[in-house]
Amino acid sequence: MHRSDFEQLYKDNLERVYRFIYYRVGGNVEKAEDLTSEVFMKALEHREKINKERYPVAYLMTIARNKLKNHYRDRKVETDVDDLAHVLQGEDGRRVLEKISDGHVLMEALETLSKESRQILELKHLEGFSFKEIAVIVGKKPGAVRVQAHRAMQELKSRYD
Amino acid sequence: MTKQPFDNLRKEATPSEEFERALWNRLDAELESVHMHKRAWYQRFAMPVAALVLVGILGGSGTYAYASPSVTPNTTLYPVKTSIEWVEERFHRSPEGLAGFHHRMAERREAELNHIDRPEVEKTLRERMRHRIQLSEEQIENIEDHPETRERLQERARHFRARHVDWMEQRMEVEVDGEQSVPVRHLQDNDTQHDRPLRRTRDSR
Repeated sequence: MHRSDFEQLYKDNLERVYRFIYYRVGGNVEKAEDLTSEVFMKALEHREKINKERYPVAYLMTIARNKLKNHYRDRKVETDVDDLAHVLQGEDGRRVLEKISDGHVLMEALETLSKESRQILELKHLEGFSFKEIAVIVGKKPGAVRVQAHRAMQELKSRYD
Repeated sequence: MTKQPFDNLRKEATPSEEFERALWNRLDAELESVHMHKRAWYQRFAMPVAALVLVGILGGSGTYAYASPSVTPNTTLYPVKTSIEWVEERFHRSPEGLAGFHHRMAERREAELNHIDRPEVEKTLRERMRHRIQLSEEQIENIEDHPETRERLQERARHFRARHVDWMEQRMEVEVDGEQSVPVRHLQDNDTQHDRPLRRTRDSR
């Protein structure tokens, strides 16, 4: 993988990876930055493998998930990475709660959705992935993801309002 | 419900430009060092490949000339030998590689000494050995990143120089005792007409 290709991969995915991690470490900027750095350092290490991937972003997200798992394992917290989304309570999330009042309401509404629906909405509306990319990440067809996202949004609206 | 709450959360979770820049600089530096490492490996492969190609072109006589210490300055194949060595030298770029190359050349000249019987040829070879040691010491001075390699090469250069000094002392004793007539003609650059690589090395390094 050439330097320019890796730079493009970095530019295209930095925000997504950062957000994916940020919401799962309770909005702790320092931890989000550390883990994001680790994800891209790991990606650099495996750049030739990523280069052969049809969807490099899926590979990046796998690295990010593993980094989060390791992060919580080191803190001796048994957890499911998908259940970690928007951990706003507690020390790490306090800052986010103070800054975004309606964000908290949204988080609570998201928590009531099924795990998969919540993940699709997060990937689409918070982390900025396209339906095609989400399909690769969750292992479904883009059409099915689109339909599920639409239904999940309707459900979220009814609970949010 | 609009998408406004999502947008607010997204804005909150945007990495700072400072972080983005700093992380890229770190990645870029890492890429550069990996690239340099990779290039060094290519060079390591390129050298033996080029030597093999050259030997292949020159055929069996080239192989013999390159490998045999019995091919000495007074033999017809010696220019072939020095030409191959000259090509080999071109493929070394790092100070470590060049210092190691000059040591190998010093060893080759030393091995050739066992196959000559003319004192003036011995003196020529000794001078070439001394010159190679000098060149290796210059390259060792340029090694900055690998202290262990530098130490190892310095030790080797000291070993060569000690052997050269021993020979010089023996030669002086012989001259003083008058037991053997040793030509005192000093080696000039022009005397190395069969040692093209050596002369070019002096110019280029």
